[in-house]
Amino acid sequence: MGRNQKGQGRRMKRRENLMGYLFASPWLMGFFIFTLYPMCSSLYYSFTNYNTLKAPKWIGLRNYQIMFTSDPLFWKSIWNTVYYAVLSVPLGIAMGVLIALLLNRKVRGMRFFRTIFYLPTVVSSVAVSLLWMWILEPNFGLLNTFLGRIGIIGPGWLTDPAWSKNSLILMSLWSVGGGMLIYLAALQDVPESLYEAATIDGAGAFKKFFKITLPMITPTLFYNLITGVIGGLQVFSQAFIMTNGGPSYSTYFYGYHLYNKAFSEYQMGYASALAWVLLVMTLLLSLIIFKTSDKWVYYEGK
Amino acid sequence: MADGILYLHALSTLGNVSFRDYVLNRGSVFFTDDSKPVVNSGANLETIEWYVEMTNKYGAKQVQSLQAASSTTGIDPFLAGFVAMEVNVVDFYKKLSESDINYGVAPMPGLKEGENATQGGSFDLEIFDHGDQKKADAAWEFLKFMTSIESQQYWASENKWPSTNQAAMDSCTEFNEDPVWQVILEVMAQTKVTKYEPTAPNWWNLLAPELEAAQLEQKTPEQALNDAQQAIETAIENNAVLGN
Repeated sequence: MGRNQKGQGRRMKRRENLMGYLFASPWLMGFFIFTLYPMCSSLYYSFTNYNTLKAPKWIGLRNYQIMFTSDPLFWKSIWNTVYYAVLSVPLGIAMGVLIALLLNRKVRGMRFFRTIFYLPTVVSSVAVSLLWMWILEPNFGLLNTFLGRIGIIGPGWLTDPAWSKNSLILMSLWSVGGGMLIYLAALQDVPESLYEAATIDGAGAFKKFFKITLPMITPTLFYNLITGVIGGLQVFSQAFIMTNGGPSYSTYFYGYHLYNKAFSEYQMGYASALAWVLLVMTLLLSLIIFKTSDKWVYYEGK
Repeated sequence: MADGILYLHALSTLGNVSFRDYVLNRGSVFFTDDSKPVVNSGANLETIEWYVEMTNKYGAKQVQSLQAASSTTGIDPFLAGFVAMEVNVVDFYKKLSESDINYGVAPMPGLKEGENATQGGSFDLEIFDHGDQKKADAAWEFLKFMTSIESQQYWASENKWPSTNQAAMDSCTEFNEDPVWQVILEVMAQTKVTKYEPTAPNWWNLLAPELEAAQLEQKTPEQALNDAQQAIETAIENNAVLGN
């Protein structure tokens, strides 16, 4: 009797397991076919010379060797990407928090403003890029026309190597709405009692912000920093649509170099190696941020 | 205007012309016949110095912003009425013919009297052998269809792009009666052919930013050409390993 029950239990468990896998199978299949297989393939290709027409030829570490020793565009693209990420990520976070603070006030029509600020996030990057090309156009663009009205001769923006990266950073602030929404949710989670206690203790608005608000939203800042760094290192479409990596390679980002090698020069092996180096760089940076998070991220439950 | 003659100063970088075309049209090259890069040769240095001087007369930033305006709006500066003259490719005739502006077409003058300065490339149709004879035969049939006189006349007429199939061009009354087509066909005799460089197919992408740096006075023309030469030599070495 006992043995029968045990057997029945095992069968039921097996059937449950099977059902579980069956329900998860669409995702599992997607993961194996569209994520794991391409990842493994690209790792293999990164050790080969592969132009998509002929079979890949094993060349060991030559792709990586060329990348680090004799590809000046590799280093140039890293510098451009790091410059972009180092400036755009903190600026994006600061701007997102600032707008969230403004939108956290209890005034009339706030829902309308929240929608307006979030709206640019849902516009496709291609449309945003085209729009900003008009705004930043040096002769008749909106920005230079406005600057001209107040007596300032605007720079060449995207056509000037000294301004092109900064122009793209400025443009990236257009889509801080995504982060803003998360900060807004975090701000609304900060207990009112903390502010009341601080008011009784005589704390001013700045003190409240730096001693209460900011520490309380650090988990959100941490999340946005990680996703921002990952996104920043993958910057591509703006440069591809707006500047073609120019002028003088000033907006030639890592993603653009990877794209050029893969789809312009058909050096898939080399492009795969570039992709893996980007993955390692992203992992290392994420790891550093995670390691330092103990020092600055505050979790309420801890 | 002087002595009753109208002198037209054209900004000779607008439209579809670049340093590359001026180098080829003065009879110089970027690669030797055996595909060795000679980007920083004396003749090319002279040409880049002239080119940079010419663009800087108008201001490199002004030139760039005019080009940017053109690419942002998708409107050609000549068609928009910003400039009185520009150099362009033959199939620009399609846009001209669809516009309502009053225009004329003339061959681009060469370095010496009586010479025209035109250059052109082409494209090829290739059949890749995957080992499937049926597919190769079908591809071959398609290739025959695409290169037939009827197809070539159709594409040339639709795109205003001359066909390399001479029989197609000779036997079509549209081409023989149209004065613009006549100019296009006349300059063919002197047109220099651009060469595909299999060891460095993307060599222009390595030279163009250096040219921009020279125009923006970030580098001297000589330094820009030397850096481009170095970059192309390195690319050729790398391509030998990486393939392309």
